[in-house]
Amino acid sequence: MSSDTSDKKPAVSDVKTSGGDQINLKVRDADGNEVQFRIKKHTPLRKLMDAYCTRKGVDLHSYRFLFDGNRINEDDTPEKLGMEDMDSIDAMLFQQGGV
Amino acid sequence: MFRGRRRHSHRSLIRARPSKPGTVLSTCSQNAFKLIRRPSRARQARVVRSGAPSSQGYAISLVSLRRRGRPRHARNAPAKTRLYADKTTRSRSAIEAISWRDNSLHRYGRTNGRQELTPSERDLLRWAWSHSTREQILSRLCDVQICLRGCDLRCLRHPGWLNDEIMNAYMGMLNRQYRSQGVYCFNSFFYTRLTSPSYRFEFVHRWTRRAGLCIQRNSLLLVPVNVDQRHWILVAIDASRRELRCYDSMHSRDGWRVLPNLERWLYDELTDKRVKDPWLLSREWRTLLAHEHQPVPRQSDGGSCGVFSLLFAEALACNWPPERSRHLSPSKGVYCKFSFGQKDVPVLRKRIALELLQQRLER
Repeated sequence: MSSDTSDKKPAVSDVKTSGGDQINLKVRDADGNEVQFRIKKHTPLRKLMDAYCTRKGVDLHSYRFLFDGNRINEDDTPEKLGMEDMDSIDAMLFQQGGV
Repeated sequence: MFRGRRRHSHRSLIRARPSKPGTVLSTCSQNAFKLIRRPSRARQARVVRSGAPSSQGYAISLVSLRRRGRPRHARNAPAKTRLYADKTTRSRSAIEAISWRDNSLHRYGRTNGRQELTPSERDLLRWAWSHSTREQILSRLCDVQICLRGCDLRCLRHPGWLNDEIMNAYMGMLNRQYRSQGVYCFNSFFYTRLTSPSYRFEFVHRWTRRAGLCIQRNSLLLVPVNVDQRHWILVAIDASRRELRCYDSMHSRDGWRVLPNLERWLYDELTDKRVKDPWLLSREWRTLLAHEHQPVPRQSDGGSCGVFSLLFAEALACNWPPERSRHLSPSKGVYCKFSFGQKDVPVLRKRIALELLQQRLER
């Protein structure tokens, strides 16, 4: 899944050695598929979420993004959440139930 | 019913219209925060006819003129007037601006949830359910980082299905209130992450560490579980009795698919965190479906299992630690009794919506 060729400027998916203020983050969905993103530490994670949802072809509100069980806000940055290189973000599909 | 036309509709005017030129009731759009004092019917009609186009998209005016409803001694006081809010920016201040004059609320555990809503609560709920836009943020719960939008809160209307935002926001509020008593509420994604595509402890082992969870003898862990995108159940991991109980409002056997995974997680978690307590490390934990051992309220409509799950969680949390069972042997303790049923659900849905809007649990 990591061979993505999309050229999203803030969050590109091709993996390089993370240097300086950029880190690699894995986004993992409920089926166990992983997509890797490279993002600057002070870039809002909104960009990553947008890129992921666009890639999946779904509405931004369909997925909930969690880091270690805590919900990620659109304005959060990797630096603020204390993310490190190769950390994983969980992308969980919305849930509903009634019967 | 709540959504029906009120008998004294002249007392309260609530308006919200999309900004189509010529059709708009735009008393509030241009001067959104100008006080309106009891407009005469003639003036209302004039406003309707003039129909000035709005430049602000949706705008909501909530004008409560409740003179006649007030006690005689209060009738000469100025009419209570409230006005709010445009798209998203003012939604919080709108909620905060409402003064909770008649806040004589009781915990629904004691009153069976049948008490009526106060007029101000009814107004707030009507605003949230009927006059907000889908994307409008109505409540921002900072500790769980959830923004409840109009479409989220609308699923609390009877008999809508609850989504994960409502469940997790409410579990977050329970956490805030009862964490100090040894209760910890997981979010609904915990179980999904643990078990999909298959059981993987390493997917969640950092979750509990990040949350600072340490399982002890007096711990009660509440895990809301979504079953196949159609059903909500609640699993209570009760360390004082060494039990994993599944609370299911449908009294189904779905719990038997869930309980083994959570039991396995529990052993893994205790090992991973190097818990030393022999009481917890014992392999004598029991798994059971609660409705086979105690009276559990049963759902008879087609959409309220999420509401039941939240109410189970609330009742279990607020009765924790169990007074009588603490010193008894585990098998003789008293289970939490539930004092609500299907007939209370429509009111309790409103109560939950209000609690989420006010961001506090009623006591």
